[in-house]
Amino acid sequence: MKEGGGSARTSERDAMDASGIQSDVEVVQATLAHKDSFGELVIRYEEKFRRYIRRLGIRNEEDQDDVLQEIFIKIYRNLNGYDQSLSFSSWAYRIAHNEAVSHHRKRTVRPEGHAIDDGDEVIALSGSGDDLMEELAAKDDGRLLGEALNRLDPKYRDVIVLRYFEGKEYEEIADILLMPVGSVATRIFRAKAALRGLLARTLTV
Amino acid sequence: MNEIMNTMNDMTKAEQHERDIASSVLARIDKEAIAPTPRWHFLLHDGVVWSLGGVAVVLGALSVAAIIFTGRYSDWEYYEATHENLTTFAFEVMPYTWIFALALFGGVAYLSIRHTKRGYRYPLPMLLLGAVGASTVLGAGLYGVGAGPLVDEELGRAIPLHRSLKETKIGFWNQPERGVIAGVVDEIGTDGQTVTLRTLRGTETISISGLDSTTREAIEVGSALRVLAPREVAVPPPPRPVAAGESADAAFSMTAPMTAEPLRAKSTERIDLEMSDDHGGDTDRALREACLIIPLDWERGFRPRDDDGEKEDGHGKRNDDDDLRRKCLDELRNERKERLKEWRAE
Repeated sequence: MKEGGGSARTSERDAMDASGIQSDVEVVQATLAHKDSFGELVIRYEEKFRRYIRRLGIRNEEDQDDVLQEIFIKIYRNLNGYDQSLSFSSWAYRIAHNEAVSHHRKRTVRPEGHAIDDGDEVIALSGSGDDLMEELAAKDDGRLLGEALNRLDPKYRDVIVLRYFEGKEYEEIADILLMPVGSVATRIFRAKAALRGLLARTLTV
Repeated sequence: MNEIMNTMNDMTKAEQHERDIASSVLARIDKEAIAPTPRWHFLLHDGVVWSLGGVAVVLGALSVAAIIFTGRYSDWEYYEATHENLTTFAFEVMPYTWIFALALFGGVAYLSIRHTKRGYRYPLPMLLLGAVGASTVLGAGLYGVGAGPLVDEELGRAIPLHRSLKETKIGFWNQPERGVIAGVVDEIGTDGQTVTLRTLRGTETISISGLDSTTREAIEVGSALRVLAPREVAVPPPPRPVAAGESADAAFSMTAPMTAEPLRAKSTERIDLEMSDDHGGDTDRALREACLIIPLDWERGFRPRDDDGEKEDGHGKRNDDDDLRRKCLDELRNERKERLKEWRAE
């Protein structure tokens, strides 16, 4: 399984980069001084969070807009509680994750299905040397993976999405899901086994 | 060319959508006058969580102090006399209240630490062991400064269904039919060969003729004692001398020899237990002969004196005491076997 894939994608602008772009922490501080700066954080994270909550099963675009708005409002309300020793991205993802879970609870329905629309992601997930995954990739069939993820226990689906679709490191996942790093590793291992089992059944049918 | 135009259009749409979301969020913040929750709110939350964890560790430590006290002074060295076997003894003296309290406060401490900013990063066993470990270390310190009996007696009194070690021991040291008796010396026979003990179940007259003269002389009216008396003696009790001390109807009070030789009353403490209705009803019981007398310290939770047997010549005397105890317990066990054999034969 690919390790650390996409970490660059999710590496945050927590520190001022050479181009002079403000870090997330600086934008947070600016927002606390003047709320209009918050728009910058929304723009930075809107697309990431939309993709993330879609992967967690919120596929309707209007629902996504509603959930996104709630996520950003909660982030804004809790800005003073942000612990700067933590990555802002992890902290914000935690809120996004909780809001998506809360949305599902309110609906009291199963997620509407998981949007697996990125062939690279399927390949990334299958890059474990696992025959089954390679077979799946060879079939170029993200739909099967999406269906399998849809049937996966939510606690396993969360770590699979964060690790292989959001490209988060173990420590980041621990900070997002509020669990020990060791438990993240164990859960990913079990999630892959469960997913493999589901895919095996799908392919043999 | 068209593809490039389409891609650019898509990017512009996406950027426009992002700006729409940003605008709508900012508009809602304005409209609903939403403001970031004040920093003190989060600081207060952290303070409450840490304080709760700290209090739980301290309460757990008090439980540990009581557990150590119970474990150390449960009179396990006499279990053969007071109980059928080690299992029944362990079940009776087990400090259930404090074990439950330690588990409860360990759980509260775990949950508190788990809800601190970084608490989630540590696995459950580590947090639980940390919380219980901190309580154990602190509890050992508290026990060292004498908190054990205080917690078991005073704090325990406020806990429904709690039975202190003292109450437990009063219970199992009051089995005259088994040759296990605890009480206060009410009278000493005129010939100095018998003592009458006031116990929770009435009075017991015991022959002390088999004890060495030093021990016999150390016994005074008012001394609180535990007695192992395996043998029933054929001779009837001697005539009662003039009664000393308070009336039998008085509340049950006992004196506590602390360190003195002879076993002299030093202070009087009222025990919160009523005399049973059959007070005095067992006076017809056959006379028993004591083979071991152990001073009893009510004030310090039934503890033997700390310097008992070690004061004069170190461990040597302790060994003598151990030999004496062993011999007496063997005698008690043999006596029971004999009685059981007789009972079966009948």
